[in-house]
Amino acid sequence: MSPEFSQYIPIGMLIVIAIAFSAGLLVMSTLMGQKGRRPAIKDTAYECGMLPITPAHGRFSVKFYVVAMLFVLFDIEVVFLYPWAVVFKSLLKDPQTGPLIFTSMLTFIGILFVGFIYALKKGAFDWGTRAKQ
Amino acid sequence: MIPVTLEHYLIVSGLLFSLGLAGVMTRRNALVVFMSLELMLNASNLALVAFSRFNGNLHGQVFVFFIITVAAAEVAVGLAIIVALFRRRQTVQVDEITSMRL
Amino acid sequence: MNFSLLKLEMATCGLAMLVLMLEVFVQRRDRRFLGYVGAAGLLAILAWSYCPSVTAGGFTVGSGFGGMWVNDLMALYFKRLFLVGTALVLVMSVGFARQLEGGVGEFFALLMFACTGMMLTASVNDFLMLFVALETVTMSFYILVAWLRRQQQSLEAGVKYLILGALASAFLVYGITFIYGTTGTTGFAGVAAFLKANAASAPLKIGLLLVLAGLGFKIATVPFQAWVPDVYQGAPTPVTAFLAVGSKAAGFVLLLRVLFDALLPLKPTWVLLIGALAGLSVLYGNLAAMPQRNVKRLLGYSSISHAGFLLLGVAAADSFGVSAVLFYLFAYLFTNLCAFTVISCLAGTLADDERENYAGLAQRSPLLAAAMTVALASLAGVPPMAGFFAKFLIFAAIIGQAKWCLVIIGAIGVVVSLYYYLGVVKAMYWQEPRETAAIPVSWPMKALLWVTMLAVVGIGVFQGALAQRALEAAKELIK
Repeated sequence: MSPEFSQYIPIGMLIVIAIAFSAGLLVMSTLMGQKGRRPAIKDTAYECGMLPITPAHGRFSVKFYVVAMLFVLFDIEVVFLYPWAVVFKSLLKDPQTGPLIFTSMLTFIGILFVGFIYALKKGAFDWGTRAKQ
Repeated sequence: MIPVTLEHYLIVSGLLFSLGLAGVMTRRNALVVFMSLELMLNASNLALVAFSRFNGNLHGQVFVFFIITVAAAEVAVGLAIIVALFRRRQTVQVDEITSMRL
Repeated sequence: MNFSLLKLEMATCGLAMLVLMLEVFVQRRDRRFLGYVGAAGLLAILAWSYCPSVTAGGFTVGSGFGGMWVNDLMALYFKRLFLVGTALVLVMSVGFARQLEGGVGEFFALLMFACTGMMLTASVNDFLMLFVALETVTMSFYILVAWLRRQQQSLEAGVKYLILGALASAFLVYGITFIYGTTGTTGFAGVAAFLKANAASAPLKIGLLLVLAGLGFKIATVPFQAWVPDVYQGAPTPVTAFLAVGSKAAGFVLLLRVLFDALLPLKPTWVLLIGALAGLSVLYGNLAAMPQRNVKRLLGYSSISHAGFLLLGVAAADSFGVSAVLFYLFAYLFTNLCAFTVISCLAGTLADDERENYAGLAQRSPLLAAAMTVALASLAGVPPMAGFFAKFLIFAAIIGQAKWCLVIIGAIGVVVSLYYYLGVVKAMYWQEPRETAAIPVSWPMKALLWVTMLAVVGIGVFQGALAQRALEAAKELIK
């Protein structure tokens, strides 16, 4: 077996143990568990729960969607920050590229900031307190 | 062990692209169609990274960054339009949006 | 890296962000003034582009960013076209603002972001840049098309444009992937050098075809035209106008750049391909437009046929053909904006854009009927309108290349198009109106109608200066 493959052996062992453990629990519960009648009352909420009054697939407020989308958009911009950060130190020393690498990222962040201010002022981050008025 | 060559990556990428295209052509749910479109973009991402590795330059990887960002923006805009359609029509089935005809 | 090469785009993008911030911070009920701010700003940028400091001394003319960016006379020609077009569309949107729900400022800002993207397309010299510029335009249009989110038709148009547009982008990206994979570069110059040295392999050919398919979607040529009628009908009228003039011109400048910069060694092959697409588009667009009753939908089909006429000029593949395309796009800009201004003036009054509603328009509003007649005559290519001279240049170019088959198809297209354009004119002048109430036209719309009408007639009569500029720009593309 080649050495680069052997480094994956622990991961393989972990997978095998995880599968064996969960399968073992299932087998044990079917072998040792009590079998009996199953009236409908057993499927409802137990003691401290509430009885369900609406279907479980309720619709969420669109606010969740807006926040999730803003997260995705601002999060994905980091993809441009990483390569920039990697070469930043070496390029900043060079008087030719130094101002360039600084101002270009400043412009990029500035454009994002305009978008952020827009979202903020439009109330995209309000959780129903101010927007309801 | 079989060495992983460019062809392997390209076959996976081609499969992903075909899966996406088949999804766009056959599915009727706008969300699933949209997911298939993203799959097609990711097929390009995989092929670009593989080409970048085997061509020995970084252009392909830089391209992938831009595709990822554009795809994220596309998702944000596209889902917003699909959500708006659902609020108006209570359906996202693309074969039901036929109000405009000759 | 010379950032002064980008200053027109940076100014446009900054203007769009300024309008966005004004929308947020200015406490004023009526936000329509933002449209005038945008239009005035764009016209100022247009005037700035004529400054000697911009055009002379290699200050802005040149290439940069590792060969990704080229600022030649053709780029400048198209940038001015986009600035003029966007400014006029902004004024049209101000007149249309009553029909727009939700934010008006965002609408104006998105128009300007789309304009920035279009200006980027004019200078593209690299497939990466092509992708980014094109997506900037397309993404803005996704939102703009679906803007009337309480109207079913606008939403449906939005979803259709979104799905088919994203599909075209996916094809484009996959094509670029294979071009990069086989040539090892994304630059147009590098691809051209590779094609000159090596024969094109099968993956490279597939990649190039996929890229052309992605661009074909943008310019709405057959067989990528399926989205056009529904999207044109459903989108808000100023957006339809912008799609027709801006998005199409952006697609054409990219097509010209790709064909003449990257694919020049394959010229004999693509001339045949483009010629076939051109003939099909002319025939399909004109024949399918004949039974249409909805005027916006009719203009959609007419847009397919005009894409065909423009491709005829590309298929001529010499500097005359390209200059004819450039001239045609400017003539088409004013003509279409004139027609769509009339439609958006009527949007508040008429129930929908069916042709029956245009009956007797001449009695209800002589100005609107006259403007529509001028626009349709120009679209059909009736002298002395701008559209006539544009078609004349296209035909001169393909006759010069002795492509008689395309000449005949084009001639058939022109004759057929007269039928359906004149059908609308006939309805406006020779049919009795259902109602007789005069249609009010606001003063900005009146000004816009006069400007576009005068431009259509003016370009048609005094075509020399514009044709000269187009020829100079085209000669820079074809060395």
